[in-house]
Amino acid sequence: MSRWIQKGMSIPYLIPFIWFLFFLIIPLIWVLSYSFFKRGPYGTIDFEWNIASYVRTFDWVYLSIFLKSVQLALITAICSFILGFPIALMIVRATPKRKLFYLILILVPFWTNFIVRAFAVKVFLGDYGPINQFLIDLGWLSEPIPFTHHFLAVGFGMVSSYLPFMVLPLYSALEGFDRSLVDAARDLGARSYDIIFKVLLPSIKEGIQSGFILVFVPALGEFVIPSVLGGAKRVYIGTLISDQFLKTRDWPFGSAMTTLLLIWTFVALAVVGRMRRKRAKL
Amino acid sequence: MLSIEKVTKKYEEMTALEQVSLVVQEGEFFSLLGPSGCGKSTLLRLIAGLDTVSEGEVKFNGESVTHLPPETRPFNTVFQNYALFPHLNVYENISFGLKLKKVPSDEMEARVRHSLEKVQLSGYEDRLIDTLSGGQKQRVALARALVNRPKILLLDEPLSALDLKLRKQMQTDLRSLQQQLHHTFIFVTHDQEEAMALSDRIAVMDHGKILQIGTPQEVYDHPTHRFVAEFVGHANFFSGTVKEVSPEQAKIEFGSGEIIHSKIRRFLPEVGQQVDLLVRPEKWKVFPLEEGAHSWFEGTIVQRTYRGAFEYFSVQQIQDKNRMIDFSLSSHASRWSIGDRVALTCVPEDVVILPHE
Repeated sequence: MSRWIQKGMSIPYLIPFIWFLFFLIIPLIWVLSYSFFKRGPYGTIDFEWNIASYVRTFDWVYLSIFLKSVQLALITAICSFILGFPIALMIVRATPKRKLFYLILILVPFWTNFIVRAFAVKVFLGDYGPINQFLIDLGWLSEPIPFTHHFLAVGFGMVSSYLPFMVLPLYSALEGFDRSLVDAARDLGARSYDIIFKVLLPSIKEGIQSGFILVFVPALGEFVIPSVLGGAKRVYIGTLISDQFLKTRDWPFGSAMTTLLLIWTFVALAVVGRMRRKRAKL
Repeated sequence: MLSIEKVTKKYEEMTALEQVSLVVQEGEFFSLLGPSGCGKSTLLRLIAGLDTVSEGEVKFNGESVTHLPPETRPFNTVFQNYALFPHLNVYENISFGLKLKKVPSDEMEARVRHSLEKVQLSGYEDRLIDTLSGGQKQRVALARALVNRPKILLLDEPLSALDLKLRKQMQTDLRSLQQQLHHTFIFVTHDQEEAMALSDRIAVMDHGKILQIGTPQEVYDHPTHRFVAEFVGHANFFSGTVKEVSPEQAKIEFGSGEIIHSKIRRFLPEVGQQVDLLVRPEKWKVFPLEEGAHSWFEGTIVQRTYRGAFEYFSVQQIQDKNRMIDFSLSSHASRWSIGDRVALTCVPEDVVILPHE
């Protein structure tokens, strides 16, 4: 009887396992194996073992795209933090009713399609968008500023899309922050600057780390926002990979880049994880 | 010397403190005692500078510190939940204040070690706060405040989170530490026993006001308010009417028709006035009930509670079955049991006369 219950119990646990197996592990193995094949003349795949795709990724053209993507993801994470921290602080300090309202405001963008959102930013910043038209109507500009296809537009789009991923972990970390620590710090002689940098920020370090990971990792592989807002000239690793599958039809090269991106992401996560463990050991 | 002069603290709708005045002498162990919400913690925060005073003055050695921010006041606080920095280890927590004051590193190290010794935590420098027990956290919080050599140490219910045995131990340690250092301690608590055991003087507070300030003995033996009498110990009350008054004595008539004289303390009643009479349970003289004998109250023992060194008895009065009178005896002297009929009397000097409430 008890064995039967144990068997029955294990079925619910099997479902996520099967899910991961079919929708994550097998596709990843597929990607990994494709990366060692060769592109056929018409975008087909020649099942012939080689590492040509990996060799190609070390071409400076692609390396520089990778570095540019890291830069974009870093800037996105940092800007999201600089903007997100005061927002999270404001939400935490609001009355319960307002708190809910602010949280909903933060979450609303999640309910809209991300492609629609990218185009909305494009319209917003466009030549006939509200910003340019407003400045022209004021007489401050004679020509619209060409925001779109500019790095600023990509950055703006990225930060506005990823901000919630930063705000929510920061908010939850700040919510758990013991405010009597501020009293204690002041009592011991700390001024505002010391309170923020020596007490508040170190106490919510894990929330900051989570926010950085949640923004940095998907921002690194983002391809919709750069291609909608950055135009064809601004190529990032995400756009490059999606092009390999959808336009150039070089699946082995796309797979090789996907694999490398994945490895780098894991390396970054491992570094952060190690930092945390080191802290916990002390 | 710290003096609080007519301090009032108002939050939007509520008045937390009303016209509070008191003076704490240098080297004194002073307690603020009262139920939760009486304003004792608010008063402590005003002294620390963590909250602002609405009206009145806080003066230290004659100079006003009313509008000084907490970081410039020469006081330090031990918080109720300790408020230790979880991201720092024991050493870093204790040296936090010294670092901000830019104390040279060799002096800082010596002072931190010394204060760790004082709280018996030498060797705990590198421990993280999460790995400490409640009592150890308590000691770290104490060391973190003391290392700054505060002119006054403020303690906000620092022992209330500890279990009983540890609390007793910490009470002893705290008292001997204070006597050793000759520091001024202002101690907030809702535990009357704790306040009595530790303090040189106690201020009993209720609803944002100080009702009485005095030594533990004064507050216990000569309370000025019914609330104080009930808060700092077990109390029996009965009401009486004043018949005659002289500067030292009053003649008071109460329920059973008896008349007593009592030493008058702070409260001078008027003839004809209604007053409350207070007798502590241990002050009663208890006799077996005899016909015709002279006594204040007569009744039957209906409850007996053993409390280690003491035993408490509840007596149901014969004349008025709804009224109970409690008396206590040291356990080894106790010879009463439930159902015994007893007569109670009391030395007039042990009766406290209070205004009727």
